[in-house]
Amino acid sequence: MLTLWLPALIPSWRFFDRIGPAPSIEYSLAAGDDDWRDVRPRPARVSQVAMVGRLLWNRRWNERLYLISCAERLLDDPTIERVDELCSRVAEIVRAEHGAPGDAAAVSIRIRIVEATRQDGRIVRRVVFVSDARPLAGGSRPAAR
Amino acid sequence: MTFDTAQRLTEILLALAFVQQGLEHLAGPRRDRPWAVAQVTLALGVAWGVAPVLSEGLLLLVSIATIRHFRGPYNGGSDRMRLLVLSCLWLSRVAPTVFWQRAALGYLAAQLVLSYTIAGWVKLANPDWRSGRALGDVFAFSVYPVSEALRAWADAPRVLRAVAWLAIAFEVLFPLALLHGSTLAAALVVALAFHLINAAVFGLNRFVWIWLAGYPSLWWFQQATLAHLFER
Repeated sequence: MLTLWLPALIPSWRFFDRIGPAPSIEYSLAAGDDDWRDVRPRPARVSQVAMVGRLLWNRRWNERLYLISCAERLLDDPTIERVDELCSRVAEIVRAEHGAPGDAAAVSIRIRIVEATRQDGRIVRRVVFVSDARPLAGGSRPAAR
Repeated sequence: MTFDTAQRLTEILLALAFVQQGLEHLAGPRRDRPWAVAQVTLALGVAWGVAPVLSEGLLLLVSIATIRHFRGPYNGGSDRMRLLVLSCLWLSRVAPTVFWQRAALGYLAAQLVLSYTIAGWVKLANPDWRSGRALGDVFAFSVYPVSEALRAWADAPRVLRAVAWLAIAFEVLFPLALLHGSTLAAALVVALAFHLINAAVFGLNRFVWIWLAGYPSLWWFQQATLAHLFER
């Protein structure tokens, strides 16, 4: 309890002190490696009206930022629980927003984390985590590799 | 502004922030909804001033349990500030003497100042921030820009350098605003605009509401302490 409370009572406030690698989360329902999609693709444009509206209702974006936090925690300390958390939440989003193709119990989902960073002046993207397949409907625990 | 008014205003603004966040979670995954129901219910109790020691104490327990549920903060700094504001409010209610009640709200005011100042100092110490390159990287590849169109700002290094220095100067110099009521009022307007821009460009809407909830404590703190020293 105290370990969760104390960081809030004595915060560090070191916002954006450095711009580190930025993870993005992708999923695939296919067996091969060619069909990876962003879990929550960033829109091409957001109107000014939408920006104002998002002050009050920004659920999808906040959930996206939370998934990024989950991915960062997983990369920091890859435990089974953290893999479970990220995979199950991504699967929920895919089921809710894209629909499960056919029989969800028979469809597998994998997720991967792609990190973008600047190296020698260029932006480089590399895959830093891939989960094993698990049923899209949820259930079995995946193993990370 | 009296201590009682600042305390009450902070409670109402904090409750609104909790309700805004709770409603988002109520529309989200089923597993998160019980926590949202508890937070919204208790926050409404806080807003209406129903048994503040109890409702704020329970909301504090639920908030800490929610961090455990999400295996960490849901939205980083905004969650920490939310818990800090709530903790200081609750402590200001349960403290045994007037001195400690005021110390609790004064601590919130001090942390609010530090939230800007430290954020500014760590940027000032970083050559990438001073050159504008760090802000360029935020737009180029970080997770924050809310649209692909905003990434084009990464190609405007001069503008970003100027914006970076404006942000650094504002954050580092923020404590000076405490010298006078009028400068603090102006600084809080600029600070709110800063959070609104961050919400529009980076989608950080939760920061707007929770930092706003801290402003009454800072306004009271300046008037109750520093105004007597510097405004003669």
